[in-house]
Amino acid sequence: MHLQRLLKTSVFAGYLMLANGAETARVEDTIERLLASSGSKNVGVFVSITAIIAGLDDEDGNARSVIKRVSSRGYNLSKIAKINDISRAYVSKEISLDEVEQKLNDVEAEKGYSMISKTLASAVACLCFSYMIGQNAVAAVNAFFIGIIVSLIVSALSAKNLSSYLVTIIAGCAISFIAVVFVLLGFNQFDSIDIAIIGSILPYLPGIAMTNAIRDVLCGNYISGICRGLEAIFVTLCLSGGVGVVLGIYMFYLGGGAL
Amino acid sequence: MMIQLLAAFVATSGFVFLMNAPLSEIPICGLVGVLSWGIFLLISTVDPDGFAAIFGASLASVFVCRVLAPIRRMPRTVYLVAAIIPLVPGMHLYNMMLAILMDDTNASSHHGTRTLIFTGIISISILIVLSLPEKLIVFLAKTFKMFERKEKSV
Repeated sequence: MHLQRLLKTSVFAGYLMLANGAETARVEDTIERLLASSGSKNVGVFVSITAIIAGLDDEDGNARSVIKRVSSRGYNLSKIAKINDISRAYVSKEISLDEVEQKLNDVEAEKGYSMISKTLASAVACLCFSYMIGQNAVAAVNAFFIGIIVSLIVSALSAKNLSSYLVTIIAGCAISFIAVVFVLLGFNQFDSIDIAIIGSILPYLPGIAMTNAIRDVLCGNYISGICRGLEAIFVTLCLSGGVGVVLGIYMFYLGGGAL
Repeated sequence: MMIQLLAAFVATSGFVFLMNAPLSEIPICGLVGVLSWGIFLLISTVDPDGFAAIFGASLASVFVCRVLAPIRRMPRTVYLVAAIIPLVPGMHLYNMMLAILMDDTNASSHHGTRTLIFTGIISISILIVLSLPEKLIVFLAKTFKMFERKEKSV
């Protein structure tokens, strides 16, 4: 009985880590450590980017296994860190299995930072990124306001369960649309529109997905690595496509002239 | 230069905040971003192409991440994000897109290969640092034990 509960709990822990953006090698390692701490034989874990499969022999020598599908993926680093701490504490016998279950449920229910603070953080990040790239204060302030508006649009759309690719395309369109509107209103020179746009797209570029993909491949999880890399490439294409469409319409059909 | 480093600090902290990093780690992530951008700027003065600058910056900052993770008992991902984010080649990506719009095949292939090469350089430096022997990291983590995380999250 105890082993079956441990199996379910550790797969749940792995599910939470994977759904919050941990790389598959870490998830496999965590589940394996949790299961191996019981002293059970024949522990086997396979984690890919979309599913977790784990199995072990229970007290009577029967084979038990669990399959869990992971369909939604986001990024929440503090949840990953907390589950890491919980599994360490369990393996070193500081807390019991009941407490682990309790704490995992608490972690799952956690909300993350509020939307207002995230919007501000994204806007400030856009401002500073543009300044780092171009040293142009006017374009950086433009990027700040683009950051606020686009992050509000993205969080409103994400709440509606739209495809993440569609949201990325719309984000790209919105970034260049607002940048063009700012130029037309005279807030920015057309020459420095690139600095404002580059600073504002940075929060939406799949940097973590790319590094996770590389680390997955390095650890021998080729399937997850390739899937994540492909995801990163598609997100990049959607973003730059969205930016390019609006910018192209402005430059060629509305007489904006070439850069 | 100082303003740029300050911008790097705020930008990196803001970005890891978006990723819901633990509050106690956000200033450290900011410093990792400053290190990465500072080294990039330093090497850029002698290497305007940026290949060596990206390589040096990502190598040093990813190494710091690898040592920080066992010291603070945190997953490496938290710091890796901060180390990589100032170096992501957004500018070349944008220029490639623009060159495709202008039907300028030369420029688009130039910026496209730059984007790919910079991503590749960052991956290679992650590869090099992650394959360093565990013993060295444990030794360094013991040496810098005073930065250990005091509070417990569970």
